Amino acid sequence: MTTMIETSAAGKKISRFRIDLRSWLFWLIMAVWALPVVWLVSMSLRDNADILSSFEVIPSKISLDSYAQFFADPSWIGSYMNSITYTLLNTVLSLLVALPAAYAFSRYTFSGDKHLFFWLLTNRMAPAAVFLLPFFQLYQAVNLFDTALGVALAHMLFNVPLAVWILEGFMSGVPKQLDEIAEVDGYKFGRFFLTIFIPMIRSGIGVTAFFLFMFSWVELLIARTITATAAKPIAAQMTRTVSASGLDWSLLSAAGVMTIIPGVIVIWFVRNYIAKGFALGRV
Amino acid sequence: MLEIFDWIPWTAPIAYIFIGLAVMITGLTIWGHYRPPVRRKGFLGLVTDRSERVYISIVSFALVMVVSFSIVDSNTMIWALSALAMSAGILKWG
Amino acid sequence: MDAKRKNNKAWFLVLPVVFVVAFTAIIPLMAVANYSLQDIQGADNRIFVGLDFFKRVATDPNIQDAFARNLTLSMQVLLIQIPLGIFLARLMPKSGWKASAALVVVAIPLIIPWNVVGTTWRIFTRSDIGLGGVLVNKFTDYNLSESTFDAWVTILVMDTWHWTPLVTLLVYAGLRSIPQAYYQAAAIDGASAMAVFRFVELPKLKRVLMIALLLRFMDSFMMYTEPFVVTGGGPGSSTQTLSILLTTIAIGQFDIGVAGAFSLMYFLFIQIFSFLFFTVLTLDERPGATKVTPKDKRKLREEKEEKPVNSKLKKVLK
Repeated sequence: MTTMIETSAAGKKISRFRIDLRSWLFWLIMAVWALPVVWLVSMSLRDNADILSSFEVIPSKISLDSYAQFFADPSWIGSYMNSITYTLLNTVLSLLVALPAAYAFSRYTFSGDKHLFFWLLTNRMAPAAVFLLPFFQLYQAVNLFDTALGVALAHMLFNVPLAVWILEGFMSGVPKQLDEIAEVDGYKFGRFFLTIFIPMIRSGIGVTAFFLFMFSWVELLIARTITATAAKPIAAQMTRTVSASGLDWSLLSAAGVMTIIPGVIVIWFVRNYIAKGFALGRV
Repeated sequence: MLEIFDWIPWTAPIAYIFIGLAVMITGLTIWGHYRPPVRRKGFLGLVTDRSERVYISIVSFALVMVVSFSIVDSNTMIWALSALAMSAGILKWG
Repeated sequence: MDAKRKNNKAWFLVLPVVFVVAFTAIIPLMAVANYSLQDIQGADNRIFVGLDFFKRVATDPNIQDAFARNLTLSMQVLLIQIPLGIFLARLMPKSGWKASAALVVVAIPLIIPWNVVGTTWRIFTRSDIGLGGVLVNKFTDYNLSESTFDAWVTILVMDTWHWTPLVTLLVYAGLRSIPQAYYQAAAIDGASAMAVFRFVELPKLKRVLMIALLLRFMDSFMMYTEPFVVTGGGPGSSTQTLSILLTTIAIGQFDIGVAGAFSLMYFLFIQIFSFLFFTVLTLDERPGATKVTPKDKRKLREEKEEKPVNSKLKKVLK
């Protein structure tokens, strides 16, 4: 008896030591992983002349000029606001159409439901490059070219399927008995859905909204193709600057940091659901 | 409503293909409503129902055609016929 | 789990989704299909060319090269990122605030806009102002705009940096769903770390790993933004992915017919992979795929038995 306790205690000690070693290794790797982003931040905090004249690992002069320039120049802050506008619009529209559909998929079987579900997936997987030319012409034909609504609609191509898939995953976690009890209690479907069901899965809706926002926010190819000036996204503004001569590395880095910030603010709240979101609610 | 389709430079074959697909999907849905499809395992080793076999046979038909296009001077008709035979086989025994 | 109710009125709930996705997906696809069959010179000058563009695309050496290149890239991406992702996931702290912090830190590359990932690496790898470029240049000559090898490795490292976290998070989620009792049982048996991984963790991770594999394959097969920003597909066409080439043909050269045929073929490959993906995801929902219920068995048997009976009947009737 005593020997057993001893060995198990010793085993615990060894395993704790090993876990410590592993966790140190993990944080070391993460530190290396962070370098490119840290470098981006450091570039954004120095002015361009300083960056080009001397190579410094730790900046000696900190300047916020690039950020000031970013907020002062309408082509930068304007395109940043454009991106936020169409992303939010896309998030709201996608959720509105996806919520009832996800409910239908999670609660009922109906003719062709599996195939519809699959068809949605293929659109999430379709390469954006395939849709460029027709999008360019379609959005001109329906007068949505170079508008925030146009980009929001175009991004619904992959975001609506994503929303339906993720929400279906969350809704299937709510027992079906709930619906039945509500029905017995005389709730009309609309009232039940809005006042009971939606509040119950609000965290799922929040997570979905995060992913909708993010996938629309990170997309460049479609957003760039169906906009010109009025709804130009920040991503297009950044790549256009890259191809121009005489690069302002500092300003470009500042813009980069600004586009990372919205995601970083929210990520803490959804940390346990990130794998779920990327795996379309199937993990 | 029609201006959504008007800007497309339509050709007859594509119009027929899309109409055909629409009719087929509607037909399969209605058929599936009255005679629910039986899932079974064929030579593909996959458990499939009727409409999944239709999908697989169409996709494999297209895949065979793409392969045939990559062969210089291939006879499209012969390839199309053999691909069609293969698709029919998948529909029947897949 | 109680069974879902059959109710065709549910169609009304999915109708908005069908309309929206039809507008954004099917109508463009109709247009692409029409482009591919004709040589469009102007609004009133269209010549029907049949399958010529398909043949041209399928035999075009540039497109074939890009296809092979992209396939190679995807394979290398999988070979590096899947093992690395598993390795990192096993190192991640499993509980407490450290686990939360680790989740956030790991996930950060995933939420950076794709073009900013490109910009970040473009700056980081420059040999005059980038930390990475300067460091590597101390050991070996590194020039991404002249050496095809350097450009390729940079794209690969960048993609690994960007997307390995996804594999890590998926595997981590899979690992957390393994009951502690499994590990205790393995410890009692005196299993080595390798054995624990092989016989306890790997079987439980199968599904998650399939998801990671297919997602990574498909996303790397349509990669556009990151290499476009970092190398522009160069030097030459050494890092030109399929999407970059297609965009050049469609928007750059405005070669509509070729782009249409190209798009349809590209779309076909994605269809095939989507089908594989869907089959993997719904494997446990398919009766007969993993377990056959007695009812299904009976049905199958009946089907099989029906045929011989029919043929016998026919013989008799003759």
